[in-house]
Amino acid sequence: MAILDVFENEVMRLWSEILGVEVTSADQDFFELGGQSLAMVQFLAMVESEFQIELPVEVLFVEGLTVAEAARALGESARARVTAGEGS
Amino acid sequence: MTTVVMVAHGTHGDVLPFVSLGRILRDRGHQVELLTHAPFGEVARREGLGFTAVDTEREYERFLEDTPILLGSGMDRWRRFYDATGLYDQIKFECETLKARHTPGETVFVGRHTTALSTLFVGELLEVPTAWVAVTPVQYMSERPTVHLYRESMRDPLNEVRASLGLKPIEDWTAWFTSARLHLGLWPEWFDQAGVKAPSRARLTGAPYGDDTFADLVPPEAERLLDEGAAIVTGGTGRMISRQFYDAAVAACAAAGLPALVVARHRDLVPETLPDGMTWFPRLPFHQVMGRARLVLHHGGIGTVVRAVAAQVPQVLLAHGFDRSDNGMRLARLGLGSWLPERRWTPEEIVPLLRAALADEGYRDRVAPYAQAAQPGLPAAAQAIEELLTV
Repeated sequence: MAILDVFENEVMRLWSEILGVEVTSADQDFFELGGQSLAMVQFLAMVESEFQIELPVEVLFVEGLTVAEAARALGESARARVTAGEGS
Repeated sequence: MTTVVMVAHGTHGDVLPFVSLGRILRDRGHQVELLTHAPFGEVARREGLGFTAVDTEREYERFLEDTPILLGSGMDRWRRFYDATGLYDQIKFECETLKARHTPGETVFVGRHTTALSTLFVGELLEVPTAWVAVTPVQYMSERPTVHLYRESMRDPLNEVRASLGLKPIEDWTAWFTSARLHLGLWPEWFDQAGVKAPSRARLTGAPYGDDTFADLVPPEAERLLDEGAAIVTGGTGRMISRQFYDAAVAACAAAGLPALVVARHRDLVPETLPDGMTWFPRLPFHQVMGRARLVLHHGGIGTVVRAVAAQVPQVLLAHGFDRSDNGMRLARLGLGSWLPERRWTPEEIVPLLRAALADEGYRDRVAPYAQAAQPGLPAAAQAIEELLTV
């Protein structure tokens, strides 16, 4: 399974638990699923707690965020962390 | 004698824990003053606390009316809310009051985490030991976005307040935001473990049970309904609640044939006509009545969650906004309750959860260990605050 697919599955799992609805598709949007700013804060904190990945806070200010976009952001943050680790 | 000056903002769930904490500190021989919203003056004075209002009754009602905008998406709403409610003037007023109450070596500041910025400012200025008290885990979970919001959207007005005190502009906002000497979280360890954990600097003391500051008698009508096996329906004490909450909760109880005590401070939030077997109460002494209810159907506020666990009463949450869905998630992970988001607030979804909770014969055994571990945490919080002056 590609790393992006892994992240998409993790995003769907977390959003399902946070939002109380079943999230099953990569094109589902957090805010259209009923998510609000503090639910997004919850998502950021859970990502940080479970994966030690800090998603950019700017994610909170976007108007729409799909599972696929969140998974991409996770992948980029994970890569940035690895690169920073290699550089240090 | 130590003077403890406390600053708190928000609704009952935010402020009443500080009233209870203040009462315990007063009973331990300290002089305590609470700076908060005007409507809390009566209860604070009744508990023997000094009181200074940071607003008027009318301004507080406007504050509550403005809070629903915070339920939407986008952190930008918070900055607009702070602008609209005159936050910076209020912080300046709080700072001047804190300065006036300061006696070197004998004063401690206690502030509500996130909003009691005045305690950090004046604590820094006068080198007063300061404690920040969080009432819900989401306050810690929100720290990174909150610091971002303060730094990116509110830097100039906050630094202007600091300049008026003779303080330099903030350079490291994260360090400043976590600069209180003591960090207290008012929830039990078991609740913390069920979700994102509090940072290691936080000392968890257990639940506050601020609602027992109201020494009301149980009305005869409430007694009658409780004797009939009624549920309690409550959306908390503020207006920061979905307009659909009471409609959905009342309709679900009616569909389940469950009598109910509908507890809401604001009558207009509750359906104008309630079905037979349901009565509205502006408030009830939950510490007296919750253990007698068959079930609690509520909005997911942490105080109600922990109070219901302590009373060993089954609970179903219609959670919307703020920490409520996080509380619901923690409760569900522990097998102690169920919750639904707003889009699923239909009788078809809610009634099966009510019936399942009422029929759950193993619930009492499951909840008992958590109820024992849900003992009041404020004495430990008071002791930690006292230690600030001795270390």
